[in-house]
Amino acid sequence: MNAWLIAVLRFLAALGLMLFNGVVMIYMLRKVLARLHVRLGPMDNGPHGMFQTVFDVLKLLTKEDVTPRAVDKALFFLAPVIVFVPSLMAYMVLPFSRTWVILDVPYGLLFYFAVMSVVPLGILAAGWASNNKWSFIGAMRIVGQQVTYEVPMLLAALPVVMMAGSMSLSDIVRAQSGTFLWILPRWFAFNVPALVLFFIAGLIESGQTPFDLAEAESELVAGFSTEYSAMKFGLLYLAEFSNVFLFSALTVTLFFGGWQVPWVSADHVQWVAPIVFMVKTYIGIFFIFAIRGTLPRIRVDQMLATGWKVLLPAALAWVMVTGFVIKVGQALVGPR
Amino acid sequence: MTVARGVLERAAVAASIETVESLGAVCRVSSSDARKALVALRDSDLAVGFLVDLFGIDTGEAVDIVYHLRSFARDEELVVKVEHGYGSTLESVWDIFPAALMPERETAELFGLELAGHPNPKRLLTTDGCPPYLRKSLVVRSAEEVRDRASQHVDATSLDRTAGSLAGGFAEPGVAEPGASLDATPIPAPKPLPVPRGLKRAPSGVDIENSDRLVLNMGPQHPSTHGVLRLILELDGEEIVSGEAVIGYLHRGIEKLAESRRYSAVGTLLDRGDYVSGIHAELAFALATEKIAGIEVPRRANYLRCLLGELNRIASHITWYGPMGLDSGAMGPFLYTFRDRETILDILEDITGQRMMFNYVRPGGVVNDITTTAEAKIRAFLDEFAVHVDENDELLMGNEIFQARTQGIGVFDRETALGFGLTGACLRGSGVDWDIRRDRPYAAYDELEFDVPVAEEGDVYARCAVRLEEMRQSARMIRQCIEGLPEGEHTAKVAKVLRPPAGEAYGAVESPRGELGVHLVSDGTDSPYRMRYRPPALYALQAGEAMLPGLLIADAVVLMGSMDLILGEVDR
Repeated sequence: MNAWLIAVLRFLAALGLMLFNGVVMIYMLRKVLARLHVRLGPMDNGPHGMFQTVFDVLKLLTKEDVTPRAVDKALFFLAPVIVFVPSLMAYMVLPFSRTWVILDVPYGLLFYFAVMSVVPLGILAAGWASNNKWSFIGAMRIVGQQVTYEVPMLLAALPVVMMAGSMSLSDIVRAQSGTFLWILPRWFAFNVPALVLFFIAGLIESGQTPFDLAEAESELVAGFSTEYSAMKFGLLYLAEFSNVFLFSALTVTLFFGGWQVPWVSADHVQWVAPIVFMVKTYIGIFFIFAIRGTLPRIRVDQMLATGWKVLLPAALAWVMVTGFVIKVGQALVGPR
Repeated sequence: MTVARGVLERAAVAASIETVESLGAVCRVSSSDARKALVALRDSDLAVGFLVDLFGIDTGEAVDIVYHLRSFARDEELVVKVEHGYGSTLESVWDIFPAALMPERETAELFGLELAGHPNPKRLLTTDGCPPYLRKSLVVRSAEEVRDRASQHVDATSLDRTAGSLAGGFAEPGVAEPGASLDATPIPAPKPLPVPRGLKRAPSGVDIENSDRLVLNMGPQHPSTHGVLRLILELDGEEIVSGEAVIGYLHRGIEKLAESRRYSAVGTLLDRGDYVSGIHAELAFALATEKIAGIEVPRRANYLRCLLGELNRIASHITWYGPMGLDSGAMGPFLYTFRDRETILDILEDITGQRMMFNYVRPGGVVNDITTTAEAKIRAFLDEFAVHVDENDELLMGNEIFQARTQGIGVFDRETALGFGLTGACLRGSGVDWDIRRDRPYAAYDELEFDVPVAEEGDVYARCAVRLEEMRQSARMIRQCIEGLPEGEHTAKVAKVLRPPAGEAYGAVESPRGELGVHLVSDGTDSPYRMRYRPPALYALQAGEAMLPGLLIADAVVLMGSMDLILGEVDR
């Protein structure tokens, strides 16, 4: 097949998946929150309000796009794109099965982090361009947040890389096949401190409760997206959900064996692998939404203190401990 | 009374003192001696450390400024009255009693006095051009009369704040006011003011034009300003350097309107003051009226008053608790609490016919007797609520993030809390064991058994904890009321058109927000001569405002949430 055609199809696959996820996740969020809050959520459009989100997307698409007079026009248009595109790019490296990877690069993990670190830049641009004090404060918080979470998050993922011996996400999944101690699946999730650190840092990265400081509704109205409307807002909103999906998918890939089914050989699950992957990811998303419906928000100085004084030293220490254990293991048993 | 006389004599203040039964000791001092007298009273062994309320009464010849003081140590009320001519200068006493900050501004604008020595002497409730409408020379006219007058002539230049003039629904009866002059002597530039203990800086507001910092306008449309509160915050990064509360967006002049209503109809106005706990404001007014008119209330009516008051307290605390969760970022509590609020409003509707604007408690008793369906509903509710309140407690108060957000934030120590006139849960959260239901029992509270929760810390968390416990105590009282409801009439025989004899009384209740007082002056006609509504939320607001500097934006939201403001009451 034509190389260009393949590239376009791959891009469309990622875009389609992202849009589909967005619609499903918004519906899911509403229903999960409703169930947590003793209410029903959307019920009117379709069975159990299933088409509500579809109509919402249609509404956003056809809504008047308001650009306030005092905004920095170029940046105001560009910002949602800067937020949206990296999120889309990160889909490229997710392994849905042994062969279903849009772009199987040997440094997939690094690619993911590199791309995702552009997102806060877009949010900063959105907040700055809006020429609104609430947006501006929200954007400032994002910058602080970015500096705080990135280092611990990378460090928290490092033990996984050390255990798998590779930065390719496909390799990392493959390294989690089989069992240990006769019964347990060889998931890196049993490296519990690394998982916990990664999860907390990831919640900060995707701006989810209790770290939703950038758009803290009760403090900053809507934070960086205060001035946005119609599809520009839609892009920002979609990117937020997409980031949650990506974060959950990455956690599954790094810690929960990716597309593999425990105790079953990878050869037998080829065709259900993408479904397994999606199910695992959506379980992760459910947890994130459950946290969102339950916890209050942390204060900005507390978030910074957590990042610098707790997460960073803990992640550093755990990298050393993991490295030590691996070396000792290799010395005792010989290289795997 | 004799102690007060001795104190004032020692301070060389000429004063006439009389005892009014329904009010306490009333001292009258001259305006030049007012500050001296207040300092003497505060620092003497009377230890009058608490300014309950500050307001004015237009006597027809001058404005009486009333300082209502309370001595917790001696459990005494003391009213100091100071006569001021129209348009004269009111000297601020905020450095003696910080609680005077906002009431002074309000009094000055509504009676057309000049305010001197005040850190922030701007108008509080009304806009420029609004006449000093609480003066008796301004009469509320019907809409037709206003229309007729307006068609005759409209003179925009006559809208002036010192002269009693035409504006909106007010008309001047044509009597020239003594002392009202346009060229009032200019006030000398204020000296730097002393800062009371517990404050970081004098609460002189935010200078928007000259600030070189980020000035943030929080409200009146903002998700967490609980109505139409506007906070102007001067920020250094996220830290608040100075803050100012701007109110008055919901100002309707309830106090003036009450002067043209019959006694039985004033309740409809008060319901719209503190609109989430209307029963309490109605009750305060009824108590004051009954004191003047000498009405004996049947025992069953008293029990019903307690019953509905406590139901209303739970409903009100719930509307505080849910948004408190929202303020701190947790969505859940808000929706959980609305289960109970729905049930309570249904019960209240069953008994009173209304969900919020009851006008149920009237002088002499209550309007309707309790229905059998309501009784069953209340019993069912109590069983349910016992579970729900524990759930709520764990859900928010037990959350570690919430604790980290609220503990040690917005701390009022005992003296500051008393100084700012805090009452209710805010005062009890600062370690002052004072509850009007127990210490000045009204209705049937002396027959009910309940505990008064007190916390020592004085921070946001302490106030929250006190309110949660109050809900449990309320449930306890409701059960007692239902079980011990005496037989009898639900209202005393009261004339259809009530004309209490001339007199003065203060009726106070423990509303969910604190001491809700009604200071009533009757002149023997069928409507009050002057009705002062002491809004506990206003005192809480000014205390919160003074506490803003040094906090972060997120703290400001939580602090204001913990003061439990209802802007309908603040603005009146």
